[in-house]
Amino acid sequence: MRPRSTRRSTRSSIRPVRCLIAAAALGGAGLVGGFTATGQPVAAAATAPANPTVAPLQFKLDPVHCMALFRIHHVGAGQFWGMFDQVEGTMTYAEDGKTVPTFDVTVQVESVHSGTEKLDRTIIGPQFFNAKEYETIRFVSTGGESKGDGVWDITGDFTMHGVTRPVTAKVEFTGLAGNPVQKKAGFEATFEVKRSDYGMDWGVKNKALGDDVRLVVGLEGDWTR
Amino acid sequence: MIKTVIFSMILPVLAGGGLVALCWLLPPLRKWRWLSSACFGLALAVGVFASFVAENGVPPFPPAERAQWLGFAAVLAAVFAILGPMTGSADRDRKWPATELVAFLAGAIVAGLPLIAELAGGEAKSMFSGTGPADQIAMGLAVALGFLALDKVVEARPGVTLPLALFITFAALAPIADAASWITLTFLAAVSAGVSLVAALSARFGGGPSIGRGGLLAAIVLLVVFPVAGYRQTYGEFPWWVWGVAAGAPIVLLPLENPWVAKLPPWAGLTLRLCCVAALAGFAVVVAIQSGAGGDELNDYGGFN
Repeated sequence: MRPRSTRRSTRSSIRPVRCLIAAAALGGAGLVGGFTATGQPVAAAATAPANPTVAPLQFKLDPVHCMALFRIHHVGAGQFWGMFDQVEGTMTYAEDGKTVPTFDVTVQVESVHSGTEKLDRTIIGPQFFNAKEYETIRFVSTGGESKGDGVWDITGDFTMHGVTRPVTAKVEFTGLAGNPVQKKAGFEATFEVKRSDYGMDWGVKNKALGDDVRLVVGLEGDWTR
Repeated sequence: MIKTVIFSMILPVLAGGGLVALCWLLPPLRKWRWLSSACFGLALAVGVFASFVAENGVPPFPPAERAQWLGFAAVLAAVFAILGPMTGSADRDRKWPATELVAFLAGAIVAGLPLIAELAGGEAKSMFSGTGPADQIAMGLAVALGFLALDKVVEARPGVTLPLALFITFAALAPIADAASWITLTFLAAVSAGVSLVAALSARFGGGPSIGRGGLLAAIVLLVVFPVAGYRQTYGEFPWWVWGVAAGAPIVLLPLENPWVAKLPPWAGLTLRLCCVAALAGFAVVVAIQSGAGGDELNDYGGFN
């Protein structure tokens, strides 16, 4: 029993030293103040902002797993869907989920797929996208507002057919996967534009084709460190 | 779809065709030589511009998009239609200005259109995607050479020959433009064909007037601009020369102005001339449609209309 008692005495004597070392390490990391019941760091008001943010991670869009779908009303009857499969660009996402993500997304117009080759040529031709003059569609975010549960209203400049106008997209965070050295993040953005606002108004007046276009963009990016 | 056809094709044909029919069928107007020589070109210009506006609205000048040059091709056709008869006509002394000078000036204007746009405050970019100064000069040369070649035919063949040859040519360009999936250009070619057909009927019953230098210049401008625009602005899956063969089909009328063909009865000579034009234009259409349809089982569903 004695020896055990001696060991206890020794451990209790070095405990304050360990705590000091741990406190110093946390202090160096800007996390002075200890931990909450859930293990999350608690900020000390004197040394850190009230709502600390994590530095956003940079992601490069993975063209294989990104695509932009569009939907338009055809002759006042059915909804017609098509897609662009060459989507490139960058985005940022902070793991704390508080920082507004940013996006710079470029779509190659000639990558359109409607399911019919001739219709593809019509869509990218001078009647609609005029891809020989306007090769890309681009969205560059300028700000945003969190709606909770991983959903944001992201505002940005949307350029199509040579015309740039502000739009607001509903962007939903769809997941973060990977490990400390390799990560993938995903988002899905939905928004609507009036194509006539972008000078693409063939068939609007005679209702051959609707004016409102819904876009659904699936994004997946690789962490670039 | 019906609305589109009415506004983009039928009404423009009625506007342009009505103009040429009035000028060639109404005796008081028919006697006015300048108008008789200018009206076919003006009719083409009115029809094409009306169709373009129905499809795309009034284009700004300088054009904001290259495809809008099609609308201004119609305006240029109207200018040439008005000025052409002033340089002489088939039934007037044409010693001056020389045919070559007219051809050179017309070609220079077409080649210099981007510079004109720049002077008007725009950007001096070439008319169509992927074209440069060399293409502009080539277009000017095509207008000049086309005029030199067909001016002799205009002089020798008043009446239905040229309107019918132009009808066949424009009628061939329409399905080629459709194969390239450009609806506006399809309508413009179809309207030009419709106006030419009305002109041919009016010539048949109106004493066989000539389309004159004005009509010829207007038609040539359209026959040069349409195929270049179609080739440069679209993604047609047929060879580039298809556009050239179709648009250049009327040139075959020049070698047919020879003593052997001249000895044929009028109906046989007319039939031979039109068959030659139709053979070239028809060949181009067949190649375009077959190339465009290859490997596309859902071809019939193409187009938004």
